[in-house]
Amino acid sequence: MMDFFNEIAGRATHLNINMILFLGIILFGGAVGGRLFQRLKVPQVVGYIIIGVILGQSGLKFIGLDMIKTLEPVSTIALSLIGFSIGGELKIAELKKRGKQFVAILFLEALTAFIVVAGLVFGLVLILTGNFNMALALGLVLGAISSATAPAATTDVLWENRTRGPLTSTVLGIVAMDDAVALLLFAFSVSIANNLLGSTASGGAELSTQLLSLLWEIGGAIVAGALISFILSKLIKGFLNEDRILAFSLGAIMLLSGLSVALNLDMILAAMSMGFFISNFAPRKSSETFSLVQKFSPPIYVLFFVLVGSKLNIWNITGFVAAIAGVFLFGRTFGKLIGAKAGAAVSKAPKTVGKYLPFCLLSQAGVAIGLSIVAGQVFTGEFGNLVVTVVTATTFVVQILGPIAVKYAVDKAGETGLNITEEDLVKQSTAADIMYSDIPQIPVNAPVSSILEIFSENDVLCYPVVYPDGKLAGIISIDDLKNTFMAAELSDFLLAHDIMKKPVASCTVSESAEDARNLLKRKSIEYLPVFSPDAGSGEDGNGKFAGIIDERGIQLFFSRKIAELNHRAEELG
Amino acid sequence: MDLANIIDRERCCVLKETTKTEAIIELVNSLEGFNGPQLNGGPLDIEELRKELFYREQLMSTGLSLGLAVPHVRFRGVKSPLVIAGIQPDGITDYDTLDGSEVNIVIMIIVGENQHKQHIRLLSLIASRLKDNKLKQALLSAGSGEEIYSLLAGSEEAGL
Repeated sequence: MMDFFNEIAGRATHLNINMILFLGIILFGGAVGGRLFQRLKVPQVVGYIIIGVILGQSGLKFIGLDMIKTLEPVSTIALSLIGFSIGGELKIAELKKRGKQFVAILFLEALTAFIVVAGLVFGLVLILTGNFNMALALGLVLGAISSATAPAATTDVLWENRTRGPLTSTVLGIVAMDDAVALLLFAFSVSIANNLLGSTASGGAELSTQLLSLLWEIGGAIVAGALISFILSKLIKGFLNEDRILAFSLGAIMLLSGLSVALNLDMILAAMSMGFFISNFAPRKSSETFSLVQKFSPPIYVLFFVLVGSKLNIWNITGFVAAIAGVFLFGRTFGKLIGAKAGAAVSKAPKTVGKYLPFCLLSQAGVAIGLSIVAGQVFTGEFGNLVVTVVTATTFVVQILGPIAVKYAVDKAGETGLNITEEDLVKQSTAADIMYSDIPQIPVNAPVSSILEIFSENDVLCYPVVYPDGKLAGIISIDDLKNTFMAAELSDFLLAHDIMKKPVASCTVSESAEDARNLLKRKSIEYLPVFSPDAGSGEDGNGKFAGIIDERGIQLFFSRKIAELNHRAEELG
Repeated sequence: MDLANIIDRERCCVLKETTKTEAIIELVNSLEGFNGPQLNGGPLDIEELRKELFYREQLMSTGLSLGLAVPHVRFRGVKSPLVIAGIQPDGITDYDTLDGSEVNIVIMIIVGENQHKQHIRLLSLIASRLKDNKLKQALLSAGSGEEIYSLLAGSEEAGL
């Protein structure tokens, strides 16, 4: 079977597959995978990654190592876009409200994972090899790597599910700052491991030098992000044209991430810093910027996650590696669980945070693999390879399980679907949701005097006029009624039949709210009758009259719905 | 609103029929072959017009008070208002008016399907104009369609 695939892959590489065809296959395949998994109620990210695994190193090898290297910039851009969006969601008010919570949980979950993984790996390797120094060094390095949490896959699930609430805020805050802690622990561990192994390796610098470079990496990133955000906000201040805002914003983000790579700054952190400053100090213009960037991002994310999957090679795993990987996974999950719970308890976080946060901290990706590669360069030979292979194996597992766990957690915490805009609501709702369904119906022979009564006693601006058999005859709007004011003396003589209008268009209950609303706009009409496709009623092809849609009703529905969701999000804590 | 252009001179008449149904049919039938500027394309569908008028009567009689009836309809066959009138000096007793009186003057109003405002304005105009007793008496003693037309159309100029 594998031979067959290798054969095909071999031929494929001989074919002159150009870059665009290549990107097309990755993007299209990833999108199909995402959609398939979404159908199975699994986050789309998992689908992208699995397509990557199939096309990449573990499977068909269609995406070769050289290609992965060539496409490195895609990952850089994707990570900066993710960082930018996360930064944009960190509002100062929210940080003030939850700052203590963030810090307590962050340190406890990261440190506990570090300690538990370090301890377990040390014990296991000591038993298996009897080499004390190697066991301790491996324990420390893997422990440090285990503390990192990947923002990308986690936040992708949050955005896909439009979550909002204390759990979402905490997750965003933690994944935003988690990298800094992981880098710190890693620098500390590497320098101890260096001493333990007596390594003369090239990267084995002193702890103090490493700390200094860390300070540069983290501090420089924050400053650079702030600076670029300041320039961008000045530039887009007077812009009204969306396309131009998008071009400037993307340009600024790429400029920043390119600079970060060149200056050796933490690129995700720089992008987060930029997102944070722009959303907090130029809030009005930036909300437009963020929604534009988010609309632009999905294809880049698909490429990114497919590439993440394609890098993983699951065939490199030996029994020894599997054992360490198993211990790593167990220790990390357990450590994060205990640490997050303890942090939540200490900082008196809302109940749902303590209960479900551990599920949201499983993902690992870029940073973990990046650190393992650094470890591979610092510790050449078997030790370095071991770290890389273990982290690749565990990353594979948590990349697949992590997003699923996040989805489970936000569902359970009741935060799914609370972060919704009017635009989302239009897309999710049907005509049945937005129509007035139980408004009074006016009999076709009702005189104007009684129609006036109906209008004055109810809060709607148009009513259905029905025949005795319940079928819709027409609609009377406030305008039609107004026309009768010039014939007040005829108000007992004029009937609903005389003043109603026949609707020029209609829709069915199952039609989407978006279509119904577009119909109103396109035909520039005030209202739209809605019918339920009920067999046996109406030779006119229409079903049973179900309700009326008008713009005012739509607005009412949306504002009520959004208020309700806001209320629910606030009630969560 | 210029009643002189709205009322069709040739289709004002002294009615022969003395029951509500027959009187309305007589007026509608007089529109057979009508080709005035009010038409919306082809000739009037007389059958359909009759049906619509009677459906409205079935909902509630169009007999007002003091001998006046205004059968009226919004009809897709016309594009601008069309009014014709019939006088029955002997009275139509079965018209079922608001005050129970018999009907002597039947003014039929046909407006375009979407002429909602004109419809009501015209009804109101005719109802208020025929509150004038002198005009009513003059109409009752009119001997020809021509005379009826002049009285109805001219009453505007007379400031009535």
